[in-house]
Amino acid sequence: MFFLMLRQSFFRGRRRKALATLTIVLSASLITALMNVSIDVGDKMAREMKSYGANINMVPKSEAIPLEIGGVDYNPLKDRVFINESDLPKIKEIFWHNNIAGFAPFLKTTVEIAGNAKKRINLIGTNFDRQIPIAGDDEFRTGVKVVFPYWQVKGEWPGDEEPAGILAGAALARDLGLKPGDRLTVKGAGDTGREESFVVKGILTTGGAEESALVAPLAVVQRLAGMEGKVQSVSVSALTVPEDKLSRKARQSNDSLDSMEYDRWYCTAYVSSITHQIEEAIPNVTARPIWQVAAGEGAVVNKIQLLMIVVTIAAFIASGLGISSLMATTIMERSREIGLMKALGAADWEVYLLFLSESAFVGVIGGLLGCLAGAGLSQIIGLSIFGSYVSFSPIVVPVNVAVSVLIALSGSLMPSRLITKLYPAEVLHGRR
Amino acid sequence: MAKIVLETKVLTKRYGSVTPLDSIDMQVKGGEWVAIMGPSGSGKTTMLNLLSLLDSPTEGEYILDGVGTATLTEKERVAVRREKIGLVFQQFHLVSYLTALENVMLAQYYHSMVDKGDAMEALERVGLEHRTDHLPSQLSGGEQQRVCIARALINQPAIIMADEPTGNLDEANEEVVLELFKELHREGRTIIMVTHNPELAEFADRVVRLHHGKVVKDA
Amino acid sequence: MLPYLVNFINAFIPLSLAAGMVIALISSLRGGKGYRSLFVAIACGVLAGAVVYPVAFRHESLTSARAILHGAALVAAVLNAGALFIPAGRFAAIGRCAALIFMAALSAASGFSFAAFVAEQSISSTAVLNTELIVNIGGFLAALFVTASLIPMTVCMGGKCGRGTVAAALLLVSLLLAAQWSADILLALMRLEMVELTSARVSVVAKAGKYARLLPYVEALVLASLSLVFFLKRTVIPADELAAMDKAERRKARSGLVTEKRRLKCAVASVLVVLGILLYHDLYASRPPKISKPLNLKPDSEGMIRVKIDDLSDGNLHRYSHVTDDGHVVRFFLINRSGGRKVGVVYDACMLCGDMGYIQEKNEVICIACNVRIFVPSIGKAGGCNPIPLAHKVENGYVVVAAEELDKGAKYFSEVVTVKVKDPVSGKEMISRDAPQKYEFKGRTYYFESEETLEKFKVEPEKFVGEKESRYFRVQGYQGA
Repeated sequence: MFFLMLRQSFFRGRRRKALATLTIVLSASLITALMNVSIDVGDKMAREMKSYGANINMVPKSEAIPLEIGGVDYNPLKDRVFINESDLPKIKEIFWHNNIAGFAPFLKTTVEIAGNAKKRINLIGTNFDRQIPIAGDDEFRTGVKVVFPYWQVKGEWPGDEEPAGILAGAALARDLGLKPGDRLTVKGAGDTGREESFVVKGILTTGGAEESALVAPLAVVQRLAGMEGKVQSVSVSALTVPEDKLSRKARQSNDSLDSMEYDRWYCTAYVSSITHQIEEAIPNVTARPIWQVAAGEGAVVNKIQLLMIVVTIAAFIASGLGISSLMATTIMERSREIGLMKALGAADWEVYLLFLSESAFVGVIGGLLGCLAGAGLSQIIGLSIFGSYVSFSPIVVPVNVAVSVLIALSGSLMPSRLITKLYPAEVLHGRR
Repeated sequence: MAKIVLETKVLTKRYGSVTPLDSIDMQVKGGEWVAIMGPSGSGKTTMLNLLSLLDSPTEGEYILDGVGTATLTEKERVAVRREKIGLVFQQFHLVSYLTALENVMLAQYYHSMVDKGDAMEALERVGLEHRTDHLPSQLSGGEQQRVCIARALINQPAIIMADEPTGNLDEANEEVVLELFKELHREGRTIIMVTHNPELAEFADRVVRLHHGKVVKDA
Repeated sequence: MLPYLVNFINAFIPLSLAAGMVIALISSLRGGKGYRSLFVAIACGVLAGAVVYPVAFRHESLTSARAILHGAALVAAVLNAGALFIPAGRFAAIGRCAALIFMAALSAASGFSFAAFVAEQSISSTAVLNTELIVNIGGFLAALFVTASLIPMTVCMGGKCGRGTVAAALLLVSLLLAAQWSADILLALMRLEMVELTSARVSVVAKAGKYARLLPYVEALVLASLSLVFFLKRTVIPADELAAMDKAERRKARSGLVTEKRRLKCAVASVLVVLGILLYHDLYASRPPKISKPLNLKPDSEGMIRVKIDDLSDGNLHRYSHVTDDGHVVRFFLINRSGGRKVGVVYDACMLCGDMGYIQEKNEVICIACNVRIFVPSIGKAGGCNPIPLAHKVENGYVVVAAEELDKGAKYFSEVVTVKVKDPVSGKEMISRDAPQKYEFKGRTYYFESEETLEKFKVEPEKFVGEKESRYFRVQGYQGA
């Protein structure tokens, strides 16, 4: 009977219910959008923290600040400290050496394309898939193919030993109209720069800055830049255990660990203990895990989160008030019905239940519609702030429906007190 | 000698300095049909509110079916109301979005549990078996009032209290409703009816006349 | 989500049951009025427990704080149990007071234990709002709902069971809790070095700890048995009696029956939900991963174990075992480590973590003990958390492992089975478990039929067992790259 009444009465006063739903949709879509953006980043961060693999970036300890304008380095390789390429095998000699899945050295220089002197582009030298002599292991092959398995090449990978093969970044290839098989001559920066000629073996898609650069075997770039045996940075791919309480403690400060904790930390393949060991093994380098999201989007997200809290509270109050006045009118209008229920022997709570269920239902519908609208809105936010689409987190839906129901209920609660105050005697015997 | 189902002793209701009902002493026996009459503002409705426990008196005592009502909590008053009193209104007060049958079932629901068969029977009783699935807006005034009576009867109350049951009806419908009340009376139900229609009062066993909140005639 | 759900239920199920039973007892006395003070006591208790934890943590006095809380709860439980024996109606105020104190103390203990759980694991790995955080909060709220709904269920069920039954159930729950608390206090006293550590005491504590896991089940079953009593005492109205009633009266009677049935169903359903959640967690979700069963291989006449390399081409982890002469089970596994025919041949044990073994999940090989992912191409090399390499040869398509070599690794493993052994001195055969004497020499265990043969052996062992290399020890440990 209760559900029958709920169903029948729900379709009464449609205009007002539509209005109430709209109020909730508005606030729910705002909350959804902000929450979705925030959760998207939060999930990425959590995933990195919990993942079993991490990339570590290794740079010289006192690297001079590069003079980069528009992504092109105008102070290439000058006054810089470098890492010796010959030190790299030491990475495979640390305690957790078996957990180092691979590493790729990088040396970046700026070149001009012959016949196009105005155009300065980055030439990145690295290893593609090269055998590195490691003590006790004669078959260790590593390079960007291992470290960045998501790099995609249209065409074929160049060999590390052939000096003429080169990869062109997808964006650069679009700009210059390059395709696999094209020949290309580049000239080192400055008037004294040497010239080298290459064959484009493939077009590289990475989703990063490499897309607008040329990628060549390390040895060639070293020769071109006159930096034999030097590298600028190294990306290391390691198999790790997820961060937990101990590693978080260690991250704050190594000194906060007592000796037993230190041993346990050192002997667990946390990314932090691996970076620590790399720093121990190779002098004058800094190794840092790349929390890709944490660094970039994290700062923005903190602001978004604050905004979200403020908006949520504001939306809560605003739509709560809206619902409240709508509910008050509804109760006034249906006072005879309420009076009758009471006269028939309904307890106050039974009447409450009917009205609150109705508004909870409005909340559910509003919340669901709000999720839809908010999903679209979050894409706009994502595009304008991060320049990328935001994936929709399913958890937003239940949370938003819960919040919407909460808004609807708390908005209805105040006017519902009118039900208690309503005396059937006053409304039932009115002479029309 | 029928037993007394309703008894009031110096029943008084005051709103500030106004006293719509002043020291009413009345007894109603089982099976009696009592008409309460009087001009507007004589306290008829106030009296009915007090008798149907929708309102509580300022002074005096009201004993319904052997239960003193002065000490009851609100919850207990609600319970007494739904079990012992059937209400018939001038405005019918049917729930507009429920069918005739569902309106009757609503009374069952608040009383205990719904039983469709019982509700159908009650509607048959008032001659509406062919109109059970109609909404109140699709029913004529007389039919609505009959649904209202069926609803009042469904929980087999000790007393039926009607407030101007024919006040909003045309003559033909008035006749039908009146016949129903007569039938109820013949069955031995106790009826208290507030009216200012002397024709209706003629059929009552007893007419209580109120004036300025006092009983001026009881015969 | 699940850990929060389960731990909340574990922490609070005794509280909600006891609260329900206390309310049932009080309302049977006083007509169902005035248990607001009870809920105030519960709320204060939970809050106090939750506040005590961080304070105690900061002052590094968790053990004593826990012991004090449990001690207080123990005293309160005893008081309350005593008050239960006061006949109904008399000194009701004392019973009420005792119940209030008991509730407050119990809630404090519950609040403390849940606060400890929350503090021990992070509710979220980052400060930014994320799915994990929301789901964990969802688990917490679901648990709150489940445990809170147990209170009215218990009141309903208990209300019909009669004072005696409810009091007995309450006594049972109190007794179980009290046993747990006493064991905990004993443990704390030993830790704080206030009582002497004896093996009897340790075994009491250990037993209590073992059975503590079963406590929530028992408590759910208490509610189940209350429901059973409720079912046995349910109202039954004979059909003819029902038929004789007025319509309205009959409907009222039937609605009473329906309500009763509905309550019973709810109670049974909530018991089932609680049991379901607990069982799912304990039997399925929280179990550590287990290694696959190794295939037992016997060496051939030359003392060699051969495995065909082609069998390994599926890239899976192939686990084998070998039982040494003295009953050690030595596990080792082979895996094709780099697409080609290169095979990693290793003991199924880690220098750092011991012999829990490694499992394969999809393409990853994981050390169970420390959850570290092993770089598959590196299997067969020593270091880090890699499995210990096993000396082997590759001969015409077969990996050949010497049983002698496996024997040397026996010390890496703790599993020992009963085997037939020979007294090296007299040559008498016996069952290793029943051998009267045993002696360890160069890491191997030898069994003797009498003290006499043992003494002979001790004088010049090499004469009986020859010049064998001694077994490896884990402490020899890290052998370098």
